[in-house]
Amino acid sequence: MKKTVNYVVTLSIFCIIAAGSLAFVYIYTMPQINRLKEQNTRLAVTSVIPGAAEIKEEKIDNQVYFIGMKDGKSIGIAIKSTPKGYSAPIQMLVGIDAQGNVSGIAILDQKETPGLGANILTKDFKGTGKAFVDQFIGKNAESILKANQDIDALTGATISTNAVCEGVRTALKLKQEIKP
Amino acid sequence: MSYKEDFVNGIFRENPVLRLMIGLCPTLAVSTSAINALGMSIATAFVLIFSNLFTALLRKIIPDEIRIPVFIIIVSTFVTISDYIMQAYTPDLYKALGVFIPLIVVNCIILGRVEAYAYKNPVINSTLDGIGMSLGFAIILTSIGIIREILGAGTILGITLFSPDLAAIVMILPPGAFITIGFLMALLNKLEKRDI
Repeated sequence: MKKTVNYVVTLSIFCIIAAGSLAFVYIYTMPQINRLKEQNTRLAVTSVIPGAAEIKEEKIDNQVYFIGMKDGKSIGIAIKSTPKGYSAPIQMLVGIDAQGNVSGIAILDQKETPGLGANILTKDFKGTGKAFVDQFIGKNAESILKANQDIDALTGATISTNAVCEGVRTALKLKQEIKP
Repeated sequence: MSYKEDFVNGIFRENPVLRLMIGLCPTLAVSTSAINALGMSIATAFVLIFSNLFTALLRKIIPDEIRIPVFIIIVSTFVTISDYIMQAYTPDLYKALGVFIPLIVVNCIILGRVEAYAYKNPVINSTLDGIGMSLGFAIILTSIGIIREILGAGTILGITLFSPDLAAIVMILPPGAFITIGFLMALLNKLEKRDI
């Protein structure tokens, strides 16, 4: 009995110390992590809506939209989309211009296989000097959006490629729903 | 064992990957490119060294019967700390390693060394063992990463060496890791002139 109490007390003390030090690190790093996240979102929005000078955030039906403004006029919309990736959902931002064509894509967060699916982030796709996601620019609601048809697949990562296609398709559909 | 032996042990004689054959899961998963391998090595080293140090420090007050849960608390604390720090200060590396950071908790190199070494040895020896093991893991992981990246993607640290069309894709897929580990193991045997 005495032994059992001893175990419980020892284990509890270890847990309390561990939780305390984690709380300390959390408080210390969280502002920086949040700042980076916010900065990344802002950077991503301006990268998918080229020429946007100002960003307006709007929420419709629990879906967050970012509207890119220039000289007080809306020039495009960025829609968050989270298609199912190979191992976890891929968080991406799809920029669509006023004509309904994709103007840019940014991958915000992904947990694809390093070296294969994670290459959806590559900035030099197959030695072309262009990013993998750049090939989606100009696509619209009528595009097929399928790996090895109108989209060049990543080597060894067809599932990840199709996941990005799915994300773009969802975003294009959402865009039609909010502004017919 | 002397301090020097403790340190060198993990690099050659008991190299975690090539000799003890542990930690193969992260080895296969992240050694697809040199930079991922290096990043994983650094994160693992941080966790391994501090877990060894703290286990050795506290080994007299940890009751034998509940040592495994205590080890797991110690290891997971350091994993979470390194997760936060990487997320805050090296976001690019964090993005690339993604899911593998939390997996360090169940990396058997760490629990294995804590249980087999740090729990029974003084602080300095255990820390040196942690450093040696981390270095042994880092050298092998990075070598595998370099070989697989060159042969499988035609790049080194992201710099293109030759056209990716000439690269053997199998090398960045899991079989490529096994092939590379096999060759490195043969090389180490040859260097140490071991008869199997």
